[in-house]
Amino acid sequence: MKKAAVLLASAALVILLSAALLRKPEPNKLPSGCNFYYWKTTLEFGKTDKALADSLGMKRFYLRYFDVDWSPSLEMPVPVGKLDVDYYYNGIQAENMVKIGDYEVVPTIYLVNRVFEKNFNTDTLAARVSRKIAEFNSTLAYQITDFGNDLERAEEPYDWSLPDSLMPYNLFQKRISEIQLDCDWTPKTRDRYFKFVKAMKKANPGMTISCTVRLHQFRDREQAGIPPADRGTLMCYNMAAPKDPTTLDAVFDASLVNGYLKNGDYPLDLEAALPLFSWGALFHENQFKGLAAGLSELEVKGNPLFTPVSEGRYRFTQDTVFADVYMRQGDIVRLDEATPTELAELSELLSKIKAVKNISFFDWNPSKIRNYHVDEICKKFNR
Amino acid sequence: MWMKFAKSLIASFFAVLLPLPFANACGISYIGEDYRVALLNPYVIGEEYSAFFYSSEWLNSTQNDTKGNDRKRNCEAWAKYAGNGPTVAEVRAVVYDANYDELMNAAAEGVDYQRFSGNSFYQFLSKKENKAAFDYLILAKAYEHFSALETTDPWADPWSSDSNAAMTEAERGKKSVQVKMAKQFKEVKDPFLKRRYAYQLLVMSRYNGEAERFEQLYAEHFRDDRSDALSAWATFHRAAIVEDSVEASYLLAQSFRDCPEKRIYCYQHFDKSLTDRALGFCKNDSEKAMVIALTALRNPGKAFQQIQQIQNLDANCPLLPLLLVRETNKLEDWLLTDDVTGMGTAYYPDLYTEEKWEWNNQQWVEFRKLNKETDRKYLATVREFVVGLASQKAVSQATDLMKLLAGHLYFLDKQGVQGEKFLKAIPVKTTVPIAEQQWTEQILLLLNTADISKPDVKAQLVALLEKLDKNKAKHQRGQRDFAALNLMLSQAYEKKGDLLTAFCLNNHALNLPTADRNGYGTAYYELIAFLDWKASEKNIDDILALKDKKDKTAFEQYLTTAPLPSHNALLDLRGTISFRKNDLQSAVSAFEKVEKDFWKTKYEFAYHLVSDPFTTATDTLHRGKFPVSKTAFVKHLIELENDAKAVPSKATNDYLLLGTAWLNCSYVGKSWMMFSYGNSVSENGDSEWFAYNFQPTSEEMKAVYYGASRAYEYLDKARASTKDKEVHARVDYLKAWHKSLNYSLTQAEQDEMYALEWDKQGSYLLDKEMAYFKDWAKTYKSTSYYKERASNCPVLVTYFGK
Repeated sequence: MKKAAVLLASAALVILLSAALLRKPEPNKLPSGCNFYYWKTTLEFGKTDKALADSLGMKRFYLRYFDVDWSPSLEMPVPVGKLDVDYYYNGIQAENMVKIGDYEVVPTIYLVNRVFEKNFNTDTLAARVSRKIAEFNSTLAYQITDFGNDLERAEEPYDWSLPDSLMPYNLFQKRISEIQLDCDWTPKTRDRYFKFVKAMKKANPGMTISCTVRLHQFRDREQAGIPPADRGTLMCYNMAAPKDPTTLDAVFDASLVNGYLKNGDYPLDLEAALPLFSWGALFHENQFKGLAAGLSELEVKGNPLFTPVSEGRYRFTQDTVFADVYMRQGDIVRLDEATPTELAELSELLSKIKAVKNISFFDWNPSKIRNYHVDEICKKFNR
Repeated sequence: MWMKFAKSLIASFFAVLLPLPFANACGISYIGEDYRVALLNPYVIGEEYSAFFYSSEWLNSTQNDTKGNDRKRNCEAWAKYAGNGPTVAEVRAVVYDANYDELMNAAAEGVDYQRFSGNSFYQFLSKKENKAAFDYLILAKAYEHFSALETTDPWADPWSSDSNAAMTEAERGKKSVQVKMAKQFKEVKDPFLKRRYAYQLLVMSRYNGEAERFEQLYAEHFRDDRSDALSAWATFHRAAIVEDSVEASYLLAQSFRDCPEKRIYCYQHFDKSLTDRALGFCKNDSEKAMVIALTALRNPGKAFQQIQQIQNLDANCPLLPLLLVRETNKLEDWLLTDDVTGMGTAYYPDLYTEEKWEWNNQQWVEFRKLNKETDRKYLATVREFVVGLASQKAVSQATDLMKLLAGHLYFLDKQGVQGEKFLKAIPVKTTVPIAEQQWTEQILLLLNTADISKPDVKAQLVALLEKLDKNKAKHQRGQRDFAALNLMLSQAYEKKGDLLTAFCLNNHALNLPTADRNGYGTAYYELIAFLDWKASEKNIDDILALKDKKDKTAFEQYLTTAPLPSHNALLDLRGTISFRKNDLQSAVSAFEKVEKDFWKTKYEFAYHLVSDPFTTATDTLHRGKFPVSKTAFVKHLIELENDAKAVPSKATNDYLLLGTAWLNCSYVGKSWMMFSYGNSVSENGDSEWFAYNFQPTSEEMKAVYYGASRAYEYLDKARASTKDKEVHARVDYLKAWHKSLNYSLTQAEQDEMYALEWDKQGSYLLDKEMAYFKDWAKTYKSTSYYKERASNCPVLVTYFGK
């Protein structure tokens, strides 16, 4: 009798535990946490990355699976720049195992705006994109599961009674409850893009479909429209044209923020994405020559190749090939990046907008995460 | 499908822990590159020839050099055509990094096209007056696109896409491009573009098999005008179309030099059996050197004679450094891979087999020794040659590299002092890869010449190891090579008797497959495997002390950053080591320090320590309960031992229980996990298939574990303490039972059994097993114990009656 009771209690516990593990977050509900985008084409997220992500309380990981661009040769939208998730397991490479199994991955698809200038069937595209996402989910689930000997979990016993539904690769897939669509739509492409968003909702019942919203789309919502999504991510960066030599800071310009956010609330619940990236905009006689990706003040300050001109602007002191661009003595590099203080202030400002429920960062960059004190920004916002 | 595979994979990892036989259908295998030892990083000569670095596979990589001189020259030509404004990088971004669709989108969007934002070459092409040039690039890209077209539906699953549709579309596309190209070739006046159209038509005629048209275009545009990369590529295409295979080999060897982006094709299609005849086509020694160099590159064995020939023909042959680095890596493989990993040299695959299954087969030991003697002589030959080159002031071939190689080869030959001279001769200002390689060389020097137990040497070692650790992700096999270096150091410390240091360094190298870690282990066991059968209790105490030490030296700090077992796991191992020796007090003192829940919640203890070890269970079912902990179990054994000595009337029963318990802690018992950390089928047999690293290594421990010698001692004591036939029946039954399970068929018996019909083989085995009970049954048939066993075991009744 006693045994039966214990058995019943254990069964109940297993069911409860399974229910808790398998429960999908409700659509539109934004769990708090310090979330990140991952925008590279190769997925490298090892144990040191995971340790940092866990220390920040990361819950969601917006992982760019692929882009969709127009193929003039095939005359249809096609997937390009796919995330490389192929992984060959062996002992040596186990050290580099991708450690994203514990997070809620949000498949994120960047759609080049020119696609929606063309004529095609949005339902077909939605079906194709959804199928491709499912393929990625399944491949990723396999690739991220430790089948071998994980030395860090050496003492954990193998649970022989674990049902298939609770195996890590299944849990990983079941945890995926949202797809994010990223497109810099314009009034010209709005209708077709929104039709596609609706088709994605129809093709993925039970999934949250979210859309990125750029600052100009947030501000000029009457022309831009509100995407028919379950929620949105407000991209709080790329505030001005990088090619324009008069731009103060193309990534983040504190003086422009208020203007973009002046309309206040938004009809969709939003997460706000803050910039953790930088670049150097290169100019020759005020003519834009290109971008030096990742360049920040750390690399420029004190470097004899540059001499400061004004805030965020440096002059080349000699002829050189820089970021694959031939720069002449006298040319200018403008550093486009937010300062840690600016990000903290932006977060403060965003916390006052009712629609903004949470913040995230673009994109995953451990050194910048430390330099910008992302942990403090998150804590402050979620307080 | 993946899920199923994954589950079966997981199951196979743990199957080893089940005391159940499992199918011997497959096993762990390794690709040679997983364990090949290469202390000389071949990147010391740069990346250009990385596809052709020595490897146990056919090629080190299948990536052509796309940053080579041919593309560079072509980009420079385009930059010049565009008025010298654009940089090579800007031209490359458009000409090589963009695909057909991207160029088409760019053409449609003009200067607004984001990807080429700020690119002055693209700006040049976008100008109306340069439309002809842009048109040419788009057509060239179109031909490239259709030539490589794999699918017409990029959304489809690549495994199920319609390749016929793609082939049809590719043919249609190529034909259409060809027509447009031919038209442009006729109409265009610009000589720069005309030459490019000629080249495109030449390529097309090659792939269309139009030899005559090819020769015509080649003769007209490329035979005499050797001014640019196009002529080099045209010669490469000619190698593929000429009928004479000897001439083709000659052309491929020259194209290998001139066309970096085509090198893999040249390598693959060069016919080394035609070398002598191909030399007849050469116009000078430099060309001859290239033919021999390609022959040497295709040589997986000793290529020294060819290297010598090349040196004599053309000391500036660009492949000479590559060939010398390859030869050094070969020597390392032949001499070190087996020494470090015990798995022989990295397996060189044939077309059908890529993996190595038998790495510790004893029959090859003698041959391995013999091969190494030959290789050591070869090492001396190669070294003397390199020393000669390194000592010549006039040698233009990367002198620093020759010095490095000379030093390295001396170290391989364990001649530290001579090697050091060459290492010291390398100037501080050298290339980055050579400077970085010197960290490894310094370690080899210390291993060769210094007392590695001295603190100052340890300090030097750790400084070098830390640099290498930071650098290990830089190259494809950096982690493997770093692990091999740690393992070499581990072996050196073990030779000196420093097991603590050897253990930690060994654990820094756990990712390197070796014969001792044959892959059938668990992560838990991997962490303690080094210690399991060779460490003493003191060794474990030393490790625990080092882990807890507060003011660690840098070297100690490095040692403890290796993946190490937890305190509990180490204490459990310490207790197990004592338990195996029957030093039960020592075992208890260690087990008592282990956290209470450890055996219930960690590893597989709770899964295997289930049955009551004092009960004899002769079937696969568990009976009774294992004591609350290992500590309680061992304490009970101590009590029984003491009780047997103090109270003679209880001795028989106490010894019976002790004998039963030790039998249960032996290989065939239900509590084997008290003694061993793994268990599998046929462990005690001769088969090398079943050589697991968790098996006891000493004869003494094998006798206790497989032979149950300690159990026999106690059972014999019980027998000697009484004349009670029931006790004798029990004791002799247990021994017969153990012997019947522990028996392996001899080869002759196996042959005899396999000659039988399949359904008769089970009976054959059973006959062998039951033979052990024959005398026992005869002697004790009248006892109650016989009846008790017979009631539980119908087979006994079948063979010997009720």
